[in-house]
Amino acid sequence: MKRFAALAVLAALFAVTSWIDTGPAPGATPTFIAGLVLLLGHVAGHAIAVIGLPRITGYLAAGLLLGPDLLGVISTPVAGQLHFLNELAVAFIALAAGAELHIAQLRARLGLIGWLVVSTTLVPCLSVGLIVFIAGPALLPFAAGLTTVQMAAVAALIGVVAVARSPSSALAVIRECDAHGPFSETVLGVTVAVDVVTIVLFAIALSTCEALLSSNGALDLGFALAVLVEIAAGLVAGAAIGMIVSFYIGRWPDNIALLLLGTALVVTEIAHGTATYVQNTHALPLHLEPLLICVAAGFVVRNVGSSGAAFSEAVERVSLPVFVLFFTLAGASLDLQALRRTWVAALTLVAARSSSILAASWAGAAIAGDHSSGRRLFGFTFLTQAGISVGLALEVVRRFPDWGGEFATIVVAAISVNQVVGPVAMKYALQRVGEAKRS
Amino acid sequence: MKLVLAAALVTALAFAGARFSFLHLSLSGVRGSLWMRNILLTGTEFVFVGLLLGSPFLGILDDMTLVGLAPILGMGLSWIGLLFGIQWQVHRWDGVVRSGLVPALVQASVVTVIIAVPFFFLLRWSLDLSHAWCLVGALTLGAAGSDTAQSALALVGRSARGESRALARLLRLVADLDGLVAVAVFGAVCWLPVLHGDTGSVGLWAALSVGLGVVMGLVVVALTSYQLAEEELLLVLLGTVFSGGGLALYLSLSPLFVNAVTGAVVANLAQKRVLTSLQSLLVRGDRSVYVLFLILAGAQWHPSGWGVLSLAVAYLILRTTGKLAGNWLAFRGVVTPAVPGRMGLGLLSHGGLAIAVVVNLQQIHDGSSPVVDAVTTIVLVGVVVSELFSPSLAWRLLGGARPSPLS
Repeated sequence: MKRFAALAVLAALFAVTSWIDTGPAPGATPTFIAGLVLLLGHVAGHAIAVIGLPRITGYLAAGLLLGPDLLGVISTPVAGQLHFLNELAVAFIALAAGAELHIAQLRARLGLIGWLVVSTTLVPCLSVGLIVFIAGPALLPFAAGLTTVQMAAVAALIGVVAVARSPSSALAVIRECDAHGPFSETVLGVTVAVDVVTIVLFAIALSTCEALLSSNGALDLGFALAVLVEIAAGLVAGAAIGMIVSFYIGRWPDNIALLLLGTALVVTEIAHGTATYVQNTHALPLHLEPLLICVAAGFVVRNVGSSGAAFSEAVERVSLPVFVLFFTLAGASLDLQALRRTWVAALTLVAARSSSILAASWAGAAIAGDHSSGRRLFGFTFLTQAGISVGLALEVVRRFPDWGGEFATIVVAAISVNQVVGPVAMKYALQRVGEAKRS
Repeated sequence: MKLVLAAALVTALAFAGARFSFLHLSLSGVRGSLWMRNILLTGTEFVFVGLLLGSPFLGILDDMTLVGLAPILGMGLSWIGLLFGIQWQVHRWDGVVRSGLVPALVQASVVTVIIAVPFFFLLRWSLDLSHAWCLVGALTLGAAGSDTAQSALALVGRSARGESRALARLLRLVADLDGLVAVAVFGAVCWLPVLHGDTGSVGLWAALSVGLGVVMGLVVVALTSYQLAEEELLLVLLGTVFSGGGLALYLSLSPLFVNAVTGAVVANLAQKRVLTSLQSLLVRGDRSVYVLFLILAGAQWHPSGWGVLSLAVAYLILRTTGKLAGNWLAFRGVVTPAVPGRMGLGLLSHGGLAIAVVVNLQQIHDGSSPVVDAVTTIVLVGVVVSELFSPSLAWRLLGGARPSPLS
């Protein structure tokens, strides 16, 4: 009750302040909104936890409430001003995700992880793609004028986007539940690995589709090659940064939080700087993924040298504000208008993706010979979807301007549903398996 | 792009600064130079690093980039204000603090008056400003000059012996308490209608400042009345710091003052365990925030001409005079061999809050103007010069005992 009263007071202050407006100092609005996002996220997280849902759902709901479709506090220009913080949060979360992958603990389950990666990549990709191809214009109105080949290209791209997961959501729920154990470690390992696989698959699918849809039909492997180079370069850069951070923490173990912030900033800078340089000098769309670099860096710090545990602990101590900021802003970016327009197609995609992931996870675990109680529950933890899949959808808009916009609208609507449903399903699985120490 | 690069650079420098200036710096190489040790201890050199990165030189932290970094500055100001305010637990004051409070405030007020009155006329004469802007500049300088930094006393105080030890304790107590005048006077500067496009009245802005601080304090007390883990306290703390700072900046008020009020409310109403945790979190980030401030203050510095440097000399003379006169006046009833009449010489160290005051003025005044440039130059020159001489003067006052080695 006191939490809601505090929030009501803050909202009243904001209203009064907006009314008084005397020409605010630069940065005043994003500074206040960042604070409001943190406090509202905190209250919403606790409120939603009362009914047993994960706090991340509360953060998303808080963002939705503040977003342009409802209260409009986080308007598009304000979201632009907060983009810097959001980028930082993504890099930070990726560092944290990498730090969760402890090779000594994962070694015994590498077979299971491998099979889960293969099954939950292939099955959803093929089944979602097939459903889209068969349903055609009945599901996607923009596909009415497309040829069979074009329809196959669209289906393939939607299939690949369906594979993408959200390591940030997975990590947030694992942290919130204070979940430790083989099930949680396997889930996180698979989620991170599948995101890397998705990037590769997407690059190949995009190059193939461009060839199929171009007039000469020639297959241009330049983009796929660029993506492979990008992944390799990202891993190398991440490993190098991880080694430096590991060396530093090993010698001077205090003030790690600020070091992490600096690392996230440096990585973002390297990624953007390289992209600009390669684009300007070689006209290549090489864009080092900050997410990949940070995961690799976090992984190296956790597994090389003796500072891994201290690093992991420090990341955990400061991760909550980052999660709240990230997911509340993600909630604000959910496109309710798109969902309203395309809900039938979006829900069909969600249903196809969810059922295929559930089936594929069960099959993958069975093939790997996993007889644990969690075997049937893996699928529930792989439903989360966010950031990277939106990025992939936007790349389709850039490559196929004729129908890319409508494609992205439907895909983003489906991702929005997965973003909300995924954490709930994941928390359920962690509790059922018995690894969630906090409800 | 440039914003990210600048932010990365400033963070790296803040990190290195917090580490090397305050933590484990071995100063064996500069053992003989007390002033150099003090400069390195306080991190004053980062003002020049900021100046080098700023638009007059390398241009990495140019005006556009600094606007992009404004939320970090707003957060930093709020952080310092909150840390300052949260130490004011009135009900926990012992007799020593109670007896030292009034003299400390008297001496700081005397310094403010001795600096502000002449500077009102000096600024009018040298920069040809309106009365209202002269008042803003003069009071800001008075506020900045009244504060005493702890660095010089920390450097030489531990080695004091006998009666000097009691004096060192008294000096540190005064330096702890006199920041209240700096925060309050600068908070009051922000109530002047000239900073609000000549709208509203002093009373309205004063009520809003205090009201905002009290309400934010009550919000924190309400949110922390539940059993929270440390990471949740950090979340509430950051939320408060950003919200309070943002709202204050939105109204062109002082985040320093507003958050100091918030801190005082929390200090006196929050549960003890919450207060201890919040203080610990705030202190943990304090060093980095301070170095960040030094860099950004340096970057926003547009060194004015030689004329302003002569004003800086006047500022130093007036501040020294003010500290001597203020302490003589404040402690005139208790001057004993342990409290010498020239004890003001031990309170010349200048830093943290003064720089925060300058940054706050830069923030609410949006960009460069003659008065902001002049005040920035005067205070930064004042801080650097004071840090050169203050340890030696404090050392002599305390009887010339060898300063304690740093480790």
